[in-house]
Amino acid sequence: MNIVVILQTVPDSAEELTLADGVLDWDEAPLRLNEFDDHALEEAVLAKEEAGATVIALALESAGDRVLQTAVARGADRAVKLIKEVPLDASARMVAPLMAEAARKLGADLVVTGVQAPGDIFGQLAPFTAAELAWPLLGGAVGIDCSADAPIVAQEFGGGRSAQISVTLPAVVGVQAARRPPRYVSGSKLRQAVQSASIEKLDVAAELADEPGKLVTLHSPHKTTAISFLDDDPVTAVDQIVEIFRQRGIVGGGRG
Amino acid sequence: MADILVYIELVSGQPTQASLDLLSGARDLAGTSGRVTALAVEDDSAVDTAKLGAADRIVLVSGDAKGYTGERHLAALSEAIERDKPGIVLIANSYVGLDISTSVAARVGQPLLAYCVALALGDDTLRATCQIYGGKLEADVECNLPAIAAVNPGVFQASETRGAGEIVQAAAPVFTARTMVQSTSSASDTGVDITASDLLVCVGRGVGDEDGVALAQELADALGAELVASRPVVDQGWVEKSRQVGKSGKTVKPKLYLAVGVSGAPEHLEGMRDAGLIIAVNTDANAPIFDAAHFGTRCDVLEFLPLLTEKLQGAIA
Repeated sequence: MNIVVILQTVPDSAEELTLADGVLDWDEAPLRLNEFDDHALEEAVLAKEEAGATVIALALESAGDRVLQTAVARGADRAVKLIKEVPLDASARMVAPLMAEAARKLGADLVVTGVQAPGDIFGQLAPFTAAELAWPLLGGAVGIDCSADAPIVAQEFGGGRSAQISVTLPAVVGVQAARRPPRYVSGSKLRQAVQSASIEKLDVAAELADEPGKLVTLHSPHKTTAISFLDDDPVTAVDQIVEIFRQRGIVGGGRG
Repeated sequence: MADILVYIELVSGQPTQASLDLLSGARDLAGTSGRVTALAVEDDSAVDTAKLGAADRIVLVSGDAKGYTGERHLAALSEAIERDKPGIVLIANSYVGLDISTSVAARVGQPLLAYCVALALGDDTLRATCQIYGGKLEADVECNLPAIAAVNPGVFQASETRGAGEIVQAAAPVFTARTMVQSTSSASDTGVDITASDLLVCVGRGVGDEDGVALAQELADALGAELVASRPVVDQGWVEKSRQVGKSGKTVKPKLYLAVGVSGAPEHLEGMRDAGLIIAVNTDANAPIFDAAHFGTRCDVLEFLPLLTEKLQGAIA
């Protein structure tokens, strides 16, 4: 079985994101592997270890080699760089035809990627890719068991509800979370991958799809609540919070 | 005004609150001249149509399937769109919504605006504000009609309804099934019930590692609170799944929600926004959790945690 894992780098929303003229300043944006793709890779490697498979990490050229080298260090068997000029802010809709053609060329039985990315204004990559391929999609996956002929995907629906769904291959899976945290890669293992991993180049004939909508502007959210900020010094902040607790009866005998 | 089709998500035949909220929002958006249709895909439970009174028309798609599969709901919704040609389709941005909204947009060849927190109709356009990058930024976007919008929970609120509209039974969708439900489960049956606790200390990614979680546990113990966590912490395996708050976890409404190192992604806020008192501790002044909190401090969480624990132990002793 060939499992193609699509990896995307995205602006790190844990860091400060700078705007320039109403759009993201990509030159300043700190980029990282989409955390859901991180889990998708882990789940693919887990499936390989349990049932046997070839895991192929696939990324746009703009994602950089380090993402693919890290994927190899974590257990991917092949690393493939998709050669195509793609704007950094291209939406999932635009990119999906490229990924679909690449998946076909790589002989994918299963395409696995993150269930979402933080800037998916016009929709997510997994379902768009599934639509391009005319393959079934299972989103919100929290586990893939490939030991049977028809893999079983654990799908999460929120509120603690989940289901085990069998799927006839080929298929696309959008991963919410792997069954265990993405594995740590030591510096020496990563250096080894950098030196030994061969990154294949893949050309595709498909063109970017048209953008389905128009981004007018990006901005910071409008504040909806009036927060009271306490002191930034932890000793003072703790005193202030304990006083709030006392006033609310949370500590100090007035509780209830 | 455009006709609007609202996809109704069901749990054991009951429309979810997010779907009911969306239906009321559709009613307002459609005005007096637009028709609002609620579409629900039946499974093995009877659909409670009495709650769908904000709709002019209720379409029940037949089926006695065991549980939800995306491909069945995708087929049913696509058929309805191609048959009724609504100007707008609204889908709640739940996990099920996330599963089918993009798929249906691709299937019927219409634009999708995702993570919407505000919607407005132009003559031939749909304009929306979309919450992205973990709630740190908002995007004002627009597209031509017909279009599909995936709307974040809490944007609209269900209002009094006027009684169920016309009910239409639609045939089961035609599709080749390639997925099949093997079993279903509910995590609410296992682990601690965090929804029953008045006091919650929530840890987010900002606590750094398991040692940070241990410090938060000590604080929770000193406060007599339950420890809960945001999704990234649970995904790391530092806190058990039954203690997860947010879209993929539980919805809580405690008297106190002390969020430590929690960024406040929309998916997390969805699960705790209605807490009586929210106090947030995060070094990132732009963290969205501060938009939901009543009190906040930007001090270092690892300095803060043992100090508050010590203070509480002294206060209670």
